[in-house]
Amino acid sequence: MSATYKIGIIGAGAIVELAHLPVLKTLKNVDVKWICDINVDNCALLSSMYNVNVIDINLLDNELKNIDICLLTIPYGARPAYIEKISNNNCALYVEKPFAINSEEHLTIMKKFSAHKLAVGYQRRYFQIIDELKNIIEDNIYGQLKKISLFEGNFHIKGNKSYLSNYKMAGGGIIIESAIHALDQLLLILEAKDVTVENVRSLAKDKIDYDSFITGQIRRQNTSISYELSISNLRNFNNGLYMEFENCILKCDLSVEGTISIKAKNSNRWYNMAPVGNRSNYPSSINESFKYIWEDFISALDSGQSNNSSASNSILTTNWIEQIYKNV
Amino acid sequence: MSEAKVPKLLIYGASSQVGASVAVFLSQKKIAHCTCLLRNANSSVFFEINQIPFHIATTLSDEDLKLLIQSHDAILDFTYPAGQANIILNTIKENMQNIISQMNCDQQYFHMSSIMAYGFPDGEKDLKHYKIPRTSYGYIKRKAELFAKKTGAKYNVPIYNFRLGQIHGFLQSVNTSYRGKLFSNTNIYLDGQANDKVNIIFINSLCYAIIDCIDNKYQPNVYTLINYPQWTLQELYKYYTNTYELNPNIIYQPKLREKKQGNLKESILKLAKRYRPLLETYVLFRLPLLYKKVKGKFRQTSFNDVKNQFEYTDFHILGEPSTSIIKTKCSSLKEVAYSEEEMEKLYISAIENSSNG
Repeated sequence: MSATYKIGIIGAGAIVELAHLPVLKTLKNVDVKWICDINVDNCALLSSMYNVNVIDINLLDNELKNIDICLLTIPYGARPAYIEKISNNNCALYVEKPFAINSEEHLTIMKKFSAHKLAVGYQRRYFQIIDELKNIIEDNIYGQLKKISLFEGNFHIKGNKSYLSNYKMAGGGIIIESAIHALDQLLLILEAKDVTVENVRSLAKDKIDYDSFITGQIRRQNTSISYELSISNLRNFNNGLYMEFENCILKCDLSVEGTISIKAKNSNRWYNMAPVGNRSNYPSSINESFKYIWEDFISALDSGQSNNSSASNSILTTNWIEQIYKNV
Repeated sequence: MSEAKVPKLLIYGASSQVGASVAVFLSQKKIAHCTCLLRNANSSVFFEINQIPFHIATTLSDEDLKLLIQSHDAILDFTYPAGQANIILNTIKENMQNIISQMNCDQQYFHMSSIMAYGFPDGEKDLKHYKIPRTSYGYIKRKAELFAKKTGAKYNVPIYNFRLGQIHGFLQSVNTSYRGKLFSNTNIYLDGQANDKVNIIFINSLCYAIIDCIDNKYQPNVYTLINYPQWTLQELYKYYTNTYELNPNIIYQPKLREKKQGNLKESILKLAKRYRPLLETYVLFRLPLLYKKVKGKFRQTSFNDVKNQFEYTDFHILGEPSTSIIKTKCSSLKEVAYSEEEMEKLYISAIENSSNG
C-alpha cells in the first residue's frame, strides 16, 4: 500500500480539466491540495468542478512546502522559475510536454531532481500499439525492418492559445506541440539507441514550424532504420505509420485504438490484424492513459526507481527534437 | 451589385476549417476579395502563404474595426466562441450586435451554423426540425439565428442564416476521417440505402452559394446549405473511393428501427427469451412439437442478431431539408472532384514554395 501523496497543480488549462483532475480525483493514494493559475476564472471553474482549493499564485512558495508532488502544466517558456521553486522545496515534479527543447536543458532540469521524482507527460507510451509493434519487430515475422514513414497531418489553425505563436513560450510549432508524442512512441517501438536528422524541409515562421518533411536514421541495437516524417497542421495527410519490412508493408495508427494493416509489397490488398494482447491491460482512451502514467509515476515514487514515466527515459526524444529544430 | 464587380468580404472566424477554406477558394478563384479577421497570430502563416489579407482582431481599435466592417460588401461570420456552454450564447449575441450595428442596408451579414441548428438529438439520423432543440448547440444556434434576424431588422441589414450540411473538402477534418476509415476497413457498413439523400456540402458549392446571395439571387432567410442536386450516400462514398483510389466493400444496411412501444407478441417473446432455461425445462420438455418449433424460431432470430452485430463506419444525417435551399453551382461529383483537385494542387504548391530546404 503506497503512501498518500499530496499534490499541487500549477496551470488550470484544458488538459487539467479534461485529463489530470478527473484521473487524480479517482486515484486512491493521491490528495489534490490546491490549484493555481494566473487565469483566476479557469481556477474558479476547476475548483467548482472538482472541489479543489484555489491558492494565490503569489503565495506559491509557502504552499509548495505542504505538497509531495507538483503538476506543472503551464506553457514551456513560463516554467523555469517554477521548476526552480519546486526543486528547492524537494517536491516531485510532473511536467507536461514539451519538457525541454535541447538535451542540455533536459539534463539541467534532471539534475535538480532524483530520477524517480521527475516525470514527463508522454502518456501515449502506454498505448497498446506500442507493445504490439515492438513484438512484431522483435519476432521478425515480416523480415527485417527497412524503413519507416510517419504521416501526421491535420489541418488545424484555430488558435485559442495565443502563446503558440510565441517561440519563447511554445518552444516551437506543431512538431514540439503535438507530433512529439509520435516521435517519442517511435523511439520506444524501435528501442532506439540513437537518432540522427539528415534533411529537413520546413515551412516555419519566427521559429514556429507548420509543415515539415524530415529524413534521417534511427539506430537500433545492430541496425539502422531510415525514416521519413511528414508533419503538418496546414494539411491533412492519410495519417499513420508505414513500416517497410523485407516482405511486406505494415500500416498502423499510433492512437489509443491503433489498428494494424499489412499488405504484400507488390499488392494493393490490405489485411487487418487483430491485436493479440489483452486490451484490458492498456488504456482505452487518451484520458485513461493519464491514469496509467500517473500510476507509473506514483509507483516510481513508492519504489524510488525511475520508470517509463521518468524524464531520464526521454532524453533521446529531446535530442531528436533538438536536431530537427536546428534545421527548421 | 453589378455583375462585373468582385465583392469584398470580411470573414470573421477565418481560422476555422470552413472559414479558412472559403477564404482560399474565393481568393484563388478571384470571385471575391477576402479580408480575414483572426483572434491571434497563430494562423497568420496560412493567410500569408495564400496571399489573403488579414488583421489580428485584438490589434484593431473600435474605430478601425468599424471602418473595416463598413468597407466590405458582406460579413461572413464563422465564429463559435470557446468557453462554457452557458456563456456562449451571450458572447455570440454581443459579437453580432457589435458587427450588425455598424453595418448598413447595402451590406449583407451571413451567420453560419451547422445543420445541428435543426435541433435534432445526438444519434438521430433523419433531418427534421425540432421545435425544442435537443442539444445545447441547437438551442444556442437557433437563438442566435433569431437574434441575428431581429438585429438585422433593427439596423436594416439583410441577414442570411446558413445551416451548413457536413462540410467536405481537402482541408476539412472529415476528409481525413473518411480516408482513414475507408483505408483501414475492408467492409464499410452504412446505416442507410445507397440512394438515401445525404446532407453534405463541398467548399466550392458553399462559396458559389454565398456569391449568389451577395448577387441578390436569394433573399435573406434561413437556408440549409447542401450540394444541389442533393447527393446520395453512394455518390458521397464514390467521391472518396475514386479520389483516393480506395476499394473497400461498401455495404448499405439500414439499422432496423426500434419500436417505441412493443406489441404484446414482442413483449411475450422478450420475456420468453429472458426465462428461456426455465421455460425449456418446465414447459417445452412436456410439449415436444412446440419445443421443436420454438427452437427453430430461436435459432433463426439468433442468426439475425449475429448478422446485425457490426459497427457502422460513419454516421450520416439523411433526408431532405425543411428550410429553403440554395441551388448550389458546380455541385456534381465530377465538378467537385475537379475543383478539389485544382484547389489542393494550388494549396500544396503555396506551402512548398514558402518552405525552406
